Amino acid sequence: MLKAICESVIGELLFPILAVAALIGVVMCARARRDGLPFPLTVLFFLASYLTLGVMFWPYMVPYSITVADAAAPDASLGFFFYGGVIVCR
Amino acid sequence: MEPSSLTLFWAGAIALSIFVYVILDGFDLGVGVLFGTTNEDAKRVQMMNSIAPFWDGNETWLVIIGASLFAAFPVVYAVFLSAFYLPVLLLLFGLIFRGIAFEFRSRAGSMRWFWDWGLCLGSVVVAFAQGAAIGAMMRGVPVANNQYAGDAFGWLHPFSVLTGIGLVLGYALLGAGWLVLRARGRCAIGHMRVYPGLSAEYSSR
Repeated sequence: MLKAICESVIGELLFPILAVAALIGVVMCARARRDGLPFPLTVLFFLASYLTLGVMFWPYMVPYSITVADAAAPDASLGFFFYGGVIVCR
Repeated sequence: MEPSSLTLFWAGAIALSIFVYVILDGFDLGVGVLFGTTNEDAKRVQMMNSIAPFWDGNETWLVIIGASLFAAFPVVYAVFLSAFYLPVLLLLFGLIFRGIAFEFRSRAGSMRWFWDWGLCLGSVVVAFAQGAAIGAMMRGVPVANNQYAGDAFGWLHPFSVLTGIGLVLGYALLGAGWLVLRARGRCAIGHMRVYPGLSAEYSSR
């Protein structure tokens, strides 16, 4: 029971809590005139919000009807793009 | 069905590209949004100069996202485009208008006010369209037989309007953070003052 509660807190609340903490940090750093910190903390806020969305949508890619696995092109095509990408990036 | 490792790779690559795009274009769109909060030309020039080397490169991430989605997840590309034709058109017109305003502003004489507003309005429209699309995704996208099954205004709902406004404000916060970061110790611009509660501290500089 306790383990289940801990898991759900980590799985569903960790990122929202991180997002709120980052926003509080932005306000505090702006008030303290620590000019270098609001930007990275806002980035952290966006990252936490983005991961919240990811947890919310997974495993769907089109919420809530098509999963990532259903939506993917065949593995042969994905492999072709993968090696194509490797060549382009080199 | 478990996604294969190649599927996970491409999903991860696209997710990472989207995040990088949001942060990078977020700060320059945010500076564009904040452009409307001042009338002083010196501040406006400083704001434009802080993003001038970056803004068009940042938007290139959109091309990477679109191309990877089209290649690796064609079904998602088809459904999203059908579901979000209007926000995507708004987004593209906003980006085009913003880009033109960026280039024309310094050359314009009596029409400068028009391009100033073009830059601000274009940025607001782009941020709003992205936020509204996210909100519509959170509500769920109706699909039948791997095709979009809603109408052209299915994305428009009070909730997605709220998320649209939220993203405009979020990008403005990124832009404000960027400006104080860049202006550190060198000037007295207080862009943080657009946020109530932070006003006193920054406007008194």
